Amino acid sequence: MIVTTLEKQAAHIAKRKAELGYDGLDYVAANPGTRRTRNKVALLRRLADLARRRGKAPRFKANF
Amino acid sequence: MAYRKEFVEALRLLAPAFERLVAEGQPRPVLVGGAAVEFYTGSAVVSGDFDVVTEAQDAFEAILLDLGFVREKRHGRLLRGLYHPDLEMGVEVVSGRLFDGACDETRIRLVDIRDGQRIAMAPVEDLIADRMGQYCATKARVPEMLDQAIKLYQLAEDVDEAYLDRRIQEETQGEYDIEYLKAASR
Repeated sequence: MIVTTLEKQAAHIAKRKAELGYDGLDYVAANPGTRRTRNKVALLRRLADLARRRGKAPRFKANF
Repeated sequence: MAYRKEFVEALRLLAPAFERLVAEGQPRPVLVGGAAVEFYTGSAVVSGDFDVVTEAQDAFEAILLDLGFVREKRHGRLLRGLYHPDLEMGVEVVSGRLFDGACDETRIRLVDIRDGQRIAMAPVEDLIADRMGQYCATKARVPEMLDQAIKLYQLAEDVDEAYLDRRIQEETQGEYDIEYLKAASR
């Protein structure tokens, strides 16, 4: 196994993004969510419902 | 730190569960899917939940339940996911071997999350190949999955290109290889 930390990985990504000319977080396409399993849809819907009941936005943005 | 706060909080919640399973003498579970992609893209891809592969599904789920997770039920039917009602995060535990045994486990990244508590991330080569497989899973193609494969490849560190080539060919039934990915990445 290759051992690392979140900080090292974050630093590597920042360096590569700069080399590639990427900025921000919208340079990767999101999962379209068209092939999710029934289990996955139920779980994501549950998480979104929990947030909504608390008057908050879900902790993630996902198509489902 | 490049990662979104919610992602780091979730990893900090999960890392003790991963360590407890190892302490019980079980093989180390591995994070796969969208959450692993989020790790390799610095949260440019945001995952709604965490997919974990383990050969000890019952033991791992018991640990999660002990940490406050509950099982997902809809319409009275027990489903495969678990969620934490306070932290609004979900986990789907998949039983079996990593990528059906096709994975070179020496390529796994073992990430120290906090205080020596670690989470194993699926190799980036396997995630790229998996995205390529999803890209060509339908006749119409899924361009978002090719885009994720390209960005993972561009951002990756120390890629084993021979291994990546083999895994792309396996996941796409020989339809694509690393040369296609390289050309698409230019």
